[in-house]
Amino acid sequence: MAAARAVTELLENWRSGDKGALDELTPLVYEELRRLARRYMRSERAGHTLQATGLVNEAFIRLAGMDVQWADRAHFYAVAARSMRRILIDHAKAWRRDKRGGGVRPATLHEAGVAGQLAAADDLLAIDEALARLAEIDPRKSDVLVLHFFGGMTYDETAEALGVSTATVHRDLRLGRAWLLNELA
Amino acid sequence: MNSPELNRERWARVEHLFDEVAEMSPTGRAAYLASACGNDLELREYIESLARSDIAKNTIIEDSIRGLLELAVPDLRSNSDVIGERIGPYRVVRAIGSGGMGVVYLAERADEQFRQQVAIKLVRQRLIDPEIEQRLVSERQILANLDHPNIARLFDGGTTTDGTPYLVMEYIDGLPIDDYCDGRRLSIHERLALFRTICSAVHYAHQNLVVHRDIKPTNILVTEDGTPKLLDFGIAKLLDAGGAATDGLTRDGAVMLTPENAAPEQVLNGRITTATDTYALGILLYRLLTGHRPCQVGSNPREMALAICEQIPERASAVVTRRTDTSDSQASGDAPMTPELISRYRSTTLEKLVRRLKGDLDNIVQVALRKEPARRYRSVNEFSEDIRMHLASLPVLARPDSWHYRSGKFVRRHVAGVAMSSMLVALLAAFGVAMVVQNKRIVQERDTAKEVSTFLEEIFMAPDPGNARGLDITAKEILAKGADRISDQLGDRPVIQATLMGTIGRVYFNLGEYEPSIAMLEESLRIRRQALGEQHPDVAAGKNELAVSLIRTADFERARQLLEEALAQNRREYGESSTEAAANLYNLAALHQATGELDEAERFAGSSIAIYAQGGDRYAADLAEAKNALARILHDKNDLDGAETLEREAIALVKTHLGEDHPFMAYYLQNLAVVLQTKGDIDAAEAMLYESIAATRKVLGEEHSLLGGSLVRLGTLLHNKGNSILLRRRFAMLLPCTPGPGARSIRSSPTI
Repeated sequence: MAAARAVTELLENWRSGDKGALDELTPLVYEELRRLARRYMRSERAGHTLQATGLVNEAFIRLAGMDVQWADRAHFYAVAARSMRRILIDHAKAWRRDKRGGGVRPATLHEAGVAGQLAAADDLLAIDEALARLAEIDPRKSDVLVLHFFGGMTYDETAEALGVSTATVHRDLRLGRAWLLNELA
Repeated sequence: MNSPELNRERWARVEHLFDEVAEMSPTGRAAYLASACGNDLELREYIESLARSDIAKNTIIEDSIRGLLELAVPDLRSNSDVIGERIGPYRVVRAIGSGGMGVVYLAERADEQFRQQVAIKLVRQRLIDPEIEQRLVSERQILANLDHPNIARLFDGGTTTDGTPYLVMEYIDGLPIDDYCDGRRLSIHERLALFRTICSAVHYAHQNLVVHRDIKPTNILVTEDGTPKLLDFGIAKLLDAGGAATDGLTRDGAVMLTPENAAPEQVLNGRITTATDTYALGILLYRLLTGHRPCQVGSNPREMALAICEQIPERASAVVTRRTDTSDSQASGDAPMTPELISRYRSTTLEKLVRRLKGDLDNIVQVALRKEPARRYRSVNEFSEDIRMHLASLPVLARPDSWHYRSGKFVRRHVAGVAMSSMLVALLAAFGVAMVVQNKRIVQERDTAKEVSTFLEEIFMAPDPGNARGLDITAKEILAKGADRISDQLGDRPVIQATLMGTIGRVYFNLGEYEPSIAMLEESLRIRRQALGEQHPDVAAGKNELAVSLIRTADFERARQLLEEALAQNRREYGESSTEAAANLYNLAALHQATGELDEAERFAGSSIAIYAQGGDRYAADLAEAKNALARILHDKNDLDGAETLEREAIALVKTHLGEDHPFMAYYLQNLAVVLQTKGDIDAAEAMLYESIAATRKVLGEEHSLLGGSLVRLGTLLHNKGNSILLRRRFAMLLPCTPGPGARSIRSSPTI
């Protein structure tokens, strides 16, 4: 697969310091994820649980193939997780615009008749805004949360992708998560 | 939660403090923060609230992400897209069926070299992780190797261009077995013969370590010439060396299976073995013989699970006389059944049909449909053989069940599983139903025999979380073996025998196994009466213990009688204010609370408190329990101030005398939270719930059902508070909490 080769090379280049590689990689990953998400959004509603992390995983297999170094895999996942966040947020916004005819928010999330979908979209937008606020005072924690929640990345992968220790990821995630829940409550 | 304005410096401080207190207990944390934050109350409160969020462990973020993805997937049925398309060398002609895993199409070889019709099953588009894909491949390989005249062959498989996995199978032009039998007016004899052919196919699969897991009429097609073919191993599983289906996909299967054909162990996420197929074959046979379904499963998951796990099917010979009314049959999708129609389909009369089914066939079906896998036929082959014996008018293995097994024991043992597998929050909360702790005062040591028994008791008491703070699952086996040994070997030492039986009875009680508990305690009491005489104090103690179990099974009259006898006896023997009498009074309080006689309950609880309060430190635990009990009674009587005072006293007693890590803490804290909530002091109730959740996690573990109860309560409370964004997550919050066996050893009521 030509695509797989390209992605693998981009990952290797990026790892060896070529910052431009990331700029090339991101749109590739983003497009693949969007394509996959669209496909699932079109397809029959399945009885199983659809996971964002599953999409990331599938995108990885499709773009990079299985035979990729572990470190590259972590970096790919980081790119994919951030892309996944954007895709879902874009979707949530579009969705809300459609359903609300111009984005007029109801007084409360759970006003009678407000569909669960709207609430899920709103929740996600609230999460997104909170993550953006966190990024202003502590960008790394915000990033750790994104990689964890949108990419399903393990502590080790996150540590590898961000160049910090696993213990740091542990601490970041614990506080970041508590902070985020606090913001949402 | 209003968070303070955070800048980078302040955030660094927050981070430092949070890391410091993350592993502390609520009390330790409060103390630490009080000194570390000094006058900065805002900071202190903020760290506290972060720590609470840390504990709450809800999955709001994960759920929102997943929820949006899922909800964004529209309810489109785009199957028709595939018609006319090529899949591998085949062209899709039309859809011929659909199931949990996918849609089945008739397809023809497209190259026209030789005409061949095949069935192609498109597995529903799903996210495939490499591991699952790998398993799919190996599973396909093994199914392809199943070569039996009554199993539809698997030819090939692959993935379509868009990545959807598919299977190519032998196309069977036939009718579902039930339609076939009715259409051909097959007699009972002919139906049994056909059924045995199916059994041979299933048995063959089992011998190849494949369990089908979804046997039902639509998966068994009978061709024009009368050959039955078993299809759709879609959710079939390979058995491991231990005879259980490999996990992972088992869970998927449990979700996707057809409810009316599900075995109890599938509903309960239990071990899937060949016995699961035996059960499904039992359902099939029941339907072929009677035209009815053995279980009426409702649409609501709770009723469904209970029906499958608890409902004993009506006898085949009785059900055929029944007329399904139109609404039933509409609900189940069946045609209305009348006894006349059923008989005619079987080329017989109702009278003859009933006679034909009575006896052997009734029993055979019941054995296959037993709730406990281990009590069904040992193999499909044995099942089939029993039918052969019946057809040959030889004695069959199947015997009617004794009453003992009809009491829904299975579901009671697995009630936690029911709750979790179908998210039965209501059932989960039902664990909170008041359970009385027995204040057993084992009589003073008097001889050396007592030492032996004490030693043994210690071994047996291990499963009581009050002693061991944890539960070994194999304890039940130890118990059962111990009970046998005691019955067999200690017959010449009745006093020790009775004591040990009493112990086992109590442990069974703590495990929620009330029937064996009562059986053991009855026997213990009987032996004591015989060996020691009616007036002996040990007999009074035995009565007290037995009464506690009887209250649990709502045998209130018997319990009342025993307790009153024991009380009179203890008062005579030990005095009005003896702690022995207090134990009886305590249990009488519980009894009256259970029957709703709250004034009496209050009086009895008050009397027991008065006695224990005189007893000194030795009786601190009993005093705490009695106060907790009275608090619950007062709560029921709506004396909330009184309830709060008593609950706080009980908590203080536990802290002082038993330590913070005692299981009572978890329960009492939650009880206090409930009182506060009822009083309308929501903030205090919330704080108390966080404390109780922390204590439960620490003392009883992540898996204890009390945790589920607390989390539900917290969710409700937050909802009432207006924290609506969290509300939808409260069911999800339950997920990490799977009640283990310890779930049933609740010592006192978590719900008031």
